[in-house]
Amino acid sequence: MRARASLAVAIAVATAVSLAACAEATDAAPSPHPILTSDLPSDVTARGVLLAAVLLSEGDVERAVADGLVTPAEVDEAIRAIERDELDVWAQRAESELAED
Amino acid sequence: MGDRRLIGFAAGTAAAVLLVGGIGTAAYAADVRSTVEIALASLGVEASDELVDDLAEDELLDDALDDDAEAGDESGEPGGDEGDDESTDEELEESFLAWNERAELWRTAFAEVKTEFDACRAEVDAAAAESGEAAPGAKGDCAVAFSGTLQVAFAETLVEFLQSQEAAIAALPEDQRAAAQAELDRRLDKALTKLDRTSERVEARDAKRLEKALEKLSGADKSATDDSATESDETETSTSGKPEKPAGSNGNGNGGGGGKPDHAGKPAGD
Repeated sequence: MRARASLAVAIAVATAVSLAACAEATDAAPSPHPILTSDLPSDVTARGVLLAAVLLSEGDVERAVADGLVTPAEVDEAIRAIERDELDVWAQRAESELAED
Repeated sequence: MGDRRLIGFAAGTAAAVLLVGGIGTAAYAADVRSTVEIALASLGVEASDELVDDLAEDELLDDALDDDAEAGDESGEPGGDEGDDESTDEELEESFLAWNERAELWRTAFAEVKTEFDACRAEVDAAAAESGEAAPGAKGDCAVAFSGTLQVAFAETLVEFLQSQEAAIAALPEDQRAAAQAELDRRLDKALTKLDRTSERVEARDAKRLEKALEKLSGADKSATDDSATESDETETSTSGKPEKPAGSNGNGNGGGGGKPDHAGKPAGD
């Protein structure tokens, strides 16, 4: 009888501990998107990626590359971002870089 | 009296021109800004006013956006006012295809010119380390040379790419060959015109910069000569009996013209 009681207590304690652990895990902030935190190559800026996206949509991106306005790497990133629906993350990065300036 | 009236008229005209020019520029800038804003919105991006302003401020962006408008006019397509989702997707698809068609060429051309740019910057840094002070504007000269070389390199890349398509056309079935050749010729003509214009523009800009640099240099030489002449006069008057050589042979850097590393930024084959 006593053994059963102690087993019940042990199970209750274990459940409480694991629930607390779960709660902690769900409370933890989600890790930021890699686009926001990764080091960018020297020929890529968030601003350039956004400009490239604008030009892919409304302009002549090759002329912009030829004028040195955006780099080929930024155009590649812009295409990838549009296809993966990640352009808003690049915008977030551009916004925070602009705020830092 | 007549002169006064004439001056008044000239001043009035100048003010009117400035005013109209100012309004035109403001309207144009607003146009670019709204194009950027609309494009971002159509791509699902909510950007702050500050970010849109920052993106729209680049003068070169006007040109890149203009070109597209001209291309649209050429093809007789409407300007794409609100742009429904379908046409936006189609335009994007076309842009992606066009880019992918030549992306490797752009990457290669960019990498080659970037290597030259990096070498120019390294040379400027080395010269600055040697002399103990950075030559004013030298890094900017590298950047200007870089953008000029880049523009010409990209225009050449486009011509080379189109010329390389001749073989592909030869491999087409006979009934398609004529139309494809005509289209290729049209694009090649356009690309060659662009190459000529770009080369001329970059050469003119380089010549202007060279002229300015030479003017600056001769101005510096002149003031150095004047300084040393003044110094030698002072020396002669203060040390009257002394048979010293006038400072000229090894005066204040006269004739050296050193510290002008901007030639390093000049593209080799430009």
